[in-house]
Amino acid sequence: MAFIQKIGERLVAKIEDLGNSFALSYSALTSLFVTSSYQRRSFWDNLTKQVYFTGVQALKLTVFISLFIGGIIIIQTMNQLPQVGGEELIGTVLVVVNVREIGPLVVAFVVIGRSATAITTELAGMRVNGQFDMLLATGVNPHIYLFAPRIWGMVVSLFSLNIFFMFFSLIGGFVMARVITYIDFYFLFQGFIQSITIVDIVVLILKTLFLSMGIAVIAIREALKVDISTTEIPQAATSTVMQTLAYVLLIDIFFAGIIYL
Amino acid sequence: MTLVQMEEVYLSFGSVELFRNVNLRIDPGEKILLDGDVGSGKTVFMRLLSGMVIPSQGVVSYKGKPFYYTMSNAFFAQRAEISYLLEGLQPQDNLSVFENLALPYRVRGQYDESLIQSLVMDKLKKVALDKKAEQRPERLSMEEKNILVILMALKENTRFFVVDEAFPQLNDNMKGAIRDIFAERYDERRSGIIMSRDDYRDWNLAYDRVFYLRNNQVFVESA
Repeated sequence: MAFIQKIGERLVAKIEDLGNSFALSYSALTSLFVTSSYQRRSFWDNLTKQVYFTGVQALKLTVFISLFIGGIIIIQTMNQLPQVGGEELIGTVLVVVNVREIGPLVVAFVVIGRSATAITTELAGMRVNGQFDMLLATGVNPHIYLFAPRIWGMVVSLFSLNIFFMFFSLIGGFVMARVITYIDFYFLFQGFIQSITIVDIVVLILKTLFLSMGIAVIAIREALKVDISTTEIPQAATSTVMQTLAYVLLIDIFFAGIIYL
Repeated sequence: MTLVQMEEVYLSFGSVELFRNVNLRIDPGEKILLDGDVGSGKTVFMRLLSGMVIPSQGVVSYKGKPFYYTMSNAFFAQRAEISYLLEGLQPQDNLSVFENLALPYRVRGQYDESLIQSLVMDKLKKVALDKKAEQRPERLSMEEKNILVILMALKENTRFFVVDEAFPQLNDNMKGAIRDIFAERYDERRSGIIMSRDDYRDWNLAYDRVFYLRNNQVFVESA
């Protein structure tokens, strides 16, 4: 009986989580239509800060990783493809790896490690030290003041970082190609452009939107579960990492299955 | 019309029961003393009574309408006349003293910036914090921070004051200043109050009834 009760409680908690996630996503959308000029200004100010923390500050790490991944892809493909006579497929490999799969995944992992945990610990800290209750007591809607800028900041940052990842992994691939093989940049770039389709672009945009909103929503939701104790904050951060990683992989396989199967 | 009403209210956190079968009402103009032993749940009860904590069962209503608990426009509209001076509230540490006080006015968008400037500076002058308007709250003393929190929490046109040991933490000069600001927002006929014993003593106010918390129940006694 106790076992069934536990399963029931877990199910209810999951349904609550899902409901809260939808509520946060909905409020993020409606916050784009706020009427007060201060709310609009405050929204854009906070959004700019979030883009700086999530996007600009993660740029160096993303560029570093993308250069190396681009180089590694070229080393591996130029090693394997000639054996099956498929040198001309290098563009397709670059699109598959950079645009469809590895790019969004790697960028999502970087953002989870840097920013999702930061969002959770910051908001959970506000819950514990009374700043969050102060907002409620003074009539300030945290959805507009705190949550929506973080969600849209994540969307803008993830999308921008994906563009940078694509560009610099191509550069990394080109540099490596010049070092170890005869391929020139034009051939590499032409292969990439010829292989990329409008579906790839649309899927990249949709995937980025789902990934970024989901990561931010989970980070905020886990922070709001923290109540009074500071010991709950690291637990919330860990829970954010685990849940966002699972979510990212789930979204990735969902898009791969729906679009490319 | 009843100001606040609790009907068949139960509250538990997990397996720990805090309150059971609570039925009570507060009328406009009524002054309630909340009393009970240490750990009897006075702070949680104040939050429950003022719509900041969701009851496990039963209904808590304000002016005849059950409290909304989903953070929406209705949530804030319903609490626009309730001043919460609850234990543990803190100002936003990324904003200056002035910005903290101006935040609710700015978010509501009801006044233009010059009026907000004069309203906020007027409040700060009354408690001698005007020279620290541009400082961050972490630079303030503990007492100055408490005053800032009280100023932030006290709303114009308050119809229900929920005060949990706000006054005892202030020195006598500040108590006087805060009492004056409090009095400006208090309407003897229409504002209900629930406060702790120390707050009543410091404000020098007589109460009408006592809500005494004991054994997870609320006992209502005449003053």
